[in-house]
Amino acid sequence: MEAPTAEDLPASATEWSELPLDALSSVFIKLGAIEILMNAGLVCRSWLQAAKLPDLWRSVDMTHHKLLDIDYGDEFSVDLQMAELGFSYLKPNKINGEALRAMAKVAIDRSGGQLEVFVGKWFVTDELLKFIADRSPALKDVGLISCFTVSNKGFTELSYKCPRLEELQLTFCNNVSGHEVFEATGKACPQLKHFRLARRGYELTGGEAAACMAMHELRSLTIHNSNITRRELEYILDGSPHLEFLDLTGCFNIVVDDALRARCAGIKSLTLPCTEDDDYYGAGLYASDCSYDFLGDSD
Amino acid sequence: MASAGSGDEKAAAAAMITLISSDNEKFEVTEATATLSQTIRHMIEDGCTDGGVPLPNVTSKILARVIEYCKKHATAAAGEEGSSSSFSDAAFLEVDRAFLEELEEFDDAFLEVDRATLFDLILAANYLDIKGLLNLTCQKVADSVKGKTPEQIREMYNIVNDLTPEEEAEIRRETQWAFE
Repeated sequence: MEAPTAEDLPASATEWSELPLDALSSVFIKLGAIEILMNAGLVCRSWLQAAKLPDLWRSVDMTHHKLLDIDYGDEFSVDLQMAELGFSYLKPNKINGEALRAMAKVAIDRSGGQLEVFVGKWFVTDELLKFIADRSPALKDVGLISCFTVSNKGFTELSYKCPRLEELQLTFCNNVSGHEVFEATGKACPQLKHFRLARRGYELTGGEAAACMAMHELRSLTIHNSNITRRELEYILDGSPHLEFLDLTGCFNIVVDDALRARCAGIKSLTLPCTEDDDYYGAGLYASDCSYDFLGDSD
Repeated sequence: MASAGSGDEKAAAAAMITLISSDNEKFEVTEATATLSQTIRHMIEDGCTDGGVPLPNVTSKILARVIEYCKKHATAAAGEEGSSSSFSDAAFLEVDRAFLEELEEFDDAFLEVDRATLFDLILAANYLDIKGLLNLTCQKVADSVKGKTPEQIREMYNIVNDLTPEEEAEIRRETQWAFE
């Protein structure tokens, strides 16, 4: 009954600048921080007003935008460091780390101290983490992905200043390392319920991973690509009685047997590094290099 | 008024509510359909729906579309509830998936409207507080502006840039990355 797709008709009869702020807010929340700051929030006064509502900035996810895509290729980390330094040989529409950090700061300012979730990529530095930690007493969930310049010091300071953290993801943040830093996190954030730790390759040591045993309230734990041993895993299981989700993809040092399965019986979602039955989730991926012998050889 | 809040769900589901559009057209709908709107749900709870619910902000054209959406989604919700007890798990999942697929197709077709209608649907969903419909329509707007510059968005939605030079200067200071 309606004219089917009249997408390109001018919307002359309606005043899109007069959408109620609630409704605009519902639109903006689907766009994400970068789109709001660079585009939608600059359209007109009422859209700018909606873009400044603190509620919109409780959750700031700066991981899904084409500006963040870098031609990874073989020179993965070199590229990132060059981008970090602002080298413009990166494609012309790309943006440098400094601009992204400036955006993140505006987003955090707009949250008016209500920031609960922050997720960022390679542009995040210790200095930005400090900026976030100093202004976000309600912070509950932090995700850092490929943040190569974030150090133990920067990360530990964040955990000390944000003791209400419940969810933490550290993926490919290779400069946050050593068991001390994770032990300190466990102590500083007693309400931590979800922890995800992954490095590229096989660089995460079992000792580091085992520091998670200090996190007693964990509901979910992901450890990828660590040489964590069976005994270290058992320390974690003993320390985290509420664990419901455990993912140990790529932790080839752990030999899975019935006793371990029994030990993990209370865990609702379990992904073990490799198992006898190939149809088990994740097993196929690593079937060729999951034996103990392989590890011995590679060392 | 008396039947409202009686707790007898079957009676409540069969109860009819009259909605009256701004151009005075009357629509009879079941309570299950009407209560997808939180605004109307509260009116029913307060017992002030006798003699019909006037909706002075919604035209008959838009109200008809809103009711079409609510009917579909209320049926789907009722279907899911009903099936959970009478099917085995596998059959339930099957039914569930079929419902979801059907609902998705309905939503896609529902969104094939011009921008003026989309605007009115958002206003109605916002006023009537129908979460699903607000989400659906706002997603459509979000998808259409994603990746567009402010100027492109203004053109697309026929919006006049009413920011004063002072406001523009302030934004430029705050967000200079966008102007480099």
